[in-house]
Amino acid sequence: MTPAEISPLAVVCRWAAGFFLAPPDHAALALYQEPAGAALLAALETEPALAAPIQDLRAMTAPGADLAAAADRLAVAHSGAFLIGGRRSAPPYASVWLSPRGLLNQEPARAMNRLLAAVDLGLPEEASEPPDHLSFQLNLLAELVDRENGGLAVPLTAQGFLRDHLLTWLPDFAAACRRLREPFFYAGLAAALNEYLNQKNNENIKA
Amino acid sequence: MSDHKKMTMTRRGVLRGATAFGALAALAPSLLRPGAAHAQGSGSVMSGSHWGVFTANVEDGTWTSVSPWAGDPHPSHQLEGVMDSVYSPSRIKYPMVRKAWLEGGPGASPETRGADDFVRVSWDEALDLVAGELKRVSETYGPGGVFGGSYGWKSSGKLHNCQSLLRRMLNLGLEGMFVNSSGDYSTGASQVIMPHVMGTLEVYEQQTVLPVVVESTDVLVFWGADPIKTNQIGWTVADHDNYPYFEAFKATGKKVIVIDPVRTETVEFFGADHIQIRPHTDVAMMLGIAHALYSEGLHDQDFLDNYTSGFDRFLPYLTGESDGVAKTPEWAAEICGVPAETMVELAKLFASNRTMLGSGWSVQRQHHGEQTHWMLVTLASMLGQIGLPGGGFGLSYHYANGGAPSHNALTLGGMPDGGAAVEGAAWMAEGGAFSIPVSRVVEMLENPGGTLDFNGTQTTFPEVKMAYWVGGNPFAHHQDRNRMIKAWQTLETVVVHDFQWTATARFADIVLPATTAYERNDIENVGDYSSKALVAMKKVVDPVFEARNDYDIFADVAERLGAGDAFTEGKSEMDWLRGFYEDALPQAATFGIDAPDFDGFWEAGILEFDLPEENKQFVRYADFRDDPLLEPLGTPTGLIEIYSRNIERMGYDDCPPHPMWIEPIERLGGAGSYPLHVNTAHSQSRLHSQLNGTVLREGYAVAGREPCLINPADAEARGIADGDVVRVFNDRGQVLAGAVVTDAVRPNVIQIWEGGWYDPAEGGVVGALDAYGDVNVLTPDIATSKLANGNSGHTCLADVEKFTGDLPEVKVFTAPTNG
Amino acid sequence: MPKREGALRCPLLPMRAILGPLLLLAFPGFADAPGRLGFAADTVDIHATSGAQSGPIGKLLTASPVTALGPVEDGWRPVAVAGWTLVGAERALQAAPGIRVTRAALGPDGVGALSFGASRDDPETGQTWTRARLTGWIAVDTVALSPDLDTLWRRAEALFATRCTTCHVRRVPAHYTANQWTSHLKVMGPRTGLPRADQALIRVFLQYHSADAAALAAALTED
Repeated sequence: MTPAEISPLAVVCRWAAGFFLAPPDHAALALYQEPAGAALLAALETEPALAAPIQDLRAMTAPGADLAAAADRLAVAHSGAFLIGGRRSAPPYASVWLSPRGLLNQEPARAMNRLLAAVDLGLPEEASEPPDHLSFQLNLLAELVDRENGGLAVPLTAQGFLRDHLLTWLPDFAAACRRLREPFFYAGLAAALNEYLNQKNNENIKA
Repeated sequence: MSDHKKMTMTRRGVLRGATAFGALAALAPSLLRPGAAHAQGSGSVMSGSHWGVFTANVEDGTWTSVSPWAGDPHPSHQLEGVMDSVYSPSRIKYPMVRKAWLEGGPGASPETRGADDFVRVSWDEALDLVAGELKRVSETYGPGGVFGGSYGWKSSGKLHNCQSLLRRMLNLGLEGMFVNSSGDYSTGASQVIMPHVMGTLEVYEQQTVLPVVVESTDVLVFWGADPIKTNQIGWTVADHDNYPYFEAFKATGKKVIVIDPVRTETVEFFGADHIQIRPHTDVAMMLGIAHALYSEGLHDQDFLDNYTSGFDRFLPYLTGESDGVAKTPEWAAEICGVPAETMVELAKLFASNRTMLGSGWSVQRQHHGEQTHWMLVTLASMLGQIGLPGGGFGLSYHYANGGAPSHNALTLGGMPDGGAAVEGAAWMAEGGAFSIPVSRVVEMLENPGGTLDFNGTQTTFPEVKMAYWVGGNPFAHHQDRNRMIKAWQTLETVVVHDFQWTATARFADIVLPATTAYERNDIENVGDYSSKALVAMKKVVDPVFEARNDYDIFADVAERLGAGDAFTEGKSEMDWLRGFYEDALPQAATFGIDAPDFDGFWEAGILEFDLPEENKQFVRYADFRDDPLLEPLGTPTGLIEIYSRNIERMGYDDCPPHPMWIEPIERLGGAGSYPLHVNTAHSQSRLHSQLNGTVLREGYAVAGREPCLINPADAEARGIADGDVVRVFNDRGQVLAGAVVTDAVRPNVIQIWEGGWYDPAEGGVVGALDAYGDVNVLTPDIATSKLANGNSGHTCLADVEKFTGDLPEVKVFTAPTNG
Repeated sequence: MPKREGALRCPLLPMRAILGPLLLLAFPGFADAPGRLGFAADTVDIHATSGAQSGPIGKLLTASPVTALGPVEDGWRPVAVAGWTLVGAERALQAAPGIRVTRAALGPDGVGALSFGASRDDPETGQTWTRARLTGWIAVDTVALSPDLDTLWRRAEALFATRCTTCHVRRVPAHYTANQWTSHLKVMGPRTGLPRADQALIRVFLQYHSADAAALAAALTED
């Protein structure tokens, strides 16, 4: 793929997905202080919906900022939000929000398995998360967008996936993130992502 | 079997970039990799659990539905919750360490335990920390530094017996230098007094079997027992074999009497005569009945003369000759709230009918709990029917289907605790470097170096600095939660394995994700007493997230302690299972059992055993009754000891040498400044705290909280309506609960089931309001007596009020769809 | 530290099969002089006369101390076992008054092989116990005796440590009396799945390490 074919939507999806799977460490934050990372932030900032998380990142990675402390804070926020159960957490799985009993590994997870098989893709080896994790759904959306842009066949349209598999639960998830015990960064990121994707959905996904 | 998944904190490591564009590659990589994963299996898998044998349906590698085994005569409704527990959002996913501990080291900010600030670490880092701490604590504090007496109901299965595995790791890796525990919270008092009275453990032993009861018992009494409810579960895999016999007894129309402050499932099922006794007064009521028997001359003097010892020393107490207080039915009525005439009627009824006195364990989970079953045995001795078909007493009809006739079964081996490798007198003397009665764990933390009187001996409490807890939830089963939270702060390091974020996990420093029994293979008995089958507990689904088997976790810890090979003996999971089975196979020839080889057994999934006719005739103590001289009991006299010289010699003020009514520290109608008794019985839809975090909760939660059953009169007096959120409180703590107004509970008694998950409004804060309803916030941490040091979870007074403040939400469960 | 791999791994053969041949050949206790011969390593049949014409009159139980009364004649040796009996229950020869570690269990005709000594009233139980001595003959070819108790205890300890920790936490032997251990093993023994001889070995091992350990050790010196 050439730079000209990069879809902003795909970039946003992949970029956001990373944060939900694992919090950025010191080294990852440091990348934003380098020219390429700064340029990425600038590019993302052109999407008004993403303003809040971008601002958080700028603040965390400003010159002289304590990157280690920021990474620590993010780790605690991430754990509390996504790794420890409880009401003030936000399980990042479609199954939890869409299945009748709010459990993991329900039909949405099986649906993701089928979809991934249909595009001949799999989950990363080291990731131990179910297939309907937000990060994997975002990545699949990005893939579908890329394939559509590249004129390749897709088992379902990016728009269809966004509407029927992601936006069915993302708003509730974002609302739960606002109520996190430690909402630092992730409340803003989830809200931003939700707003952004809803916009895209309404625009019928212009990549 | 060692399935290390390395997790580093760098996103680069986890998220492998697939593109060639600078920052995008590192900061917005594609997570997905080419090549679809191979399809996961679908099908049916049979396995077993505390709740029984079941079949799991699996679709694309996920467990979708559960149905009970066709051979289960009375399946438990809790199986749905069993399935749910595997996929609960409360699953512990990764090794986690408390942030403050990781940064500040062992002992850092212990008062912030419970506040939930954890971070994820890799398995390697977690295991290094655990092994490092075991070494450090052991070297710094010596053999008493590590507490390994971890107690709880864990999961069924002979191999993945996490508590045995913990002690195996400690025996092999730390040379047995750890503090162990003795006894349990189930029969803490009775299992220590019964050896003095009956010469045997009694409580976990086969009862006069139910076919004999159905045939020969005329009056079936359940005293403080709810067998219809509690027989749903078993320590191994529940068989539920008692239920058809209960049906059969019910069909005879013979009398069933239930003595219980609450109208229970058992009362409803049998349509029993319900005597709603005032809680905590069972000994008094038994004395009243005994007095009636004696004064009416209905007692069996021959039985007392030939089979018991010491009645003549108990009698003056009964008649009042020794203390000036005759224990008449009138005297007893004052205390127990049951009319004197009722006690007289019962005396006559019992004496003139073949009577089985079945008693549960609530009545000994009380201050001075040792007295209850001792007095019950005394009463049964006066009735003289012990050892007769359908007569006498039984302490296990309500537990694990005691009384279900025993099948002719292979007895499986299991995972030994590695103690064979530990040389020296230490383990012999203490079962570890030290041993404490299990429910004294908080007292031990509060009082290192202090002495404890226990069953005629004196122990010195060690100074414990590290606790390793697996397969249990002490922040549910232990009493006086606030006192416990404070004591827990003395520990430098707490390690917990579990599969859900229980309160105990939240109060730990290092939390390791364990698999459920359904994510691994195992083998187990079906029927603690019936031994009716062996079940292949086949893995239903792959482990989720980074959950690992306790076996593998401990093997890795043992490895770091230099004992990896000794721990595993080079065996894989299936090697061990094969070994347990093949070890038992020679019994097949000896006992005439038709059993396949291991592969045949595993293929079939279950091996059922025959029930010999003579086992349907077993009468407990018939042999003793036939020949007390040649089949003596294990007591000094060989007889039932109504008076015990061994206990007399101990000189304990709280456990005299014969059964006595002793006022507890608090009770309804006695000492204590709160007006209501709190009954802390089991839940119908849980096993203690297990399955509280599942769909089953929807069937009983009120206002999202644990139910509090309250009598209409008490509710009205407090302006409480059905469904209100109420605050239940005493000097020890406060909980919120949801009111259920019902006359099933007696006036001045409320019921909150034990096992509700502790959910403090402010985590880790002593005295915080518990939003969900963990009743052990209210109960006292007091030993039953110096004899047994059992726990007193049913000794509790409190008050209730309608809650009108800002309602704290229930946070401990993930229930995103609930309002 | 030495690991007891042998104890963990070795298949559980009857004691006799391991020790019997060794003892018969090399054990000095089989000398002709009377005196302490050893301790029963398993149940031992005792007969009224030498030769197997009549069946046994009783059994010596595991760990019972056996005294030789004379030399071996035609494969049979006269022996004695001392202990105490309770009035009315003479068929059970116990280790000490009130401590029912059974040394010999006699059939109905076996009581005649007992000779009685002094009686003692046990103030604890109000029972009267009588010193008793059982004499009879054992067939040396089929009998396994251990020269000492420690050999038996090592095997018992290994069994106890492996088989008695799989369902519940390890019990501490001294927490119970010898009499209580009899009752516990009645129930727990079958739950080990071990042959009855091994269950009996574990039982007597626990009894000798019970709260009555000192009294039982003293009783051995009195024999």
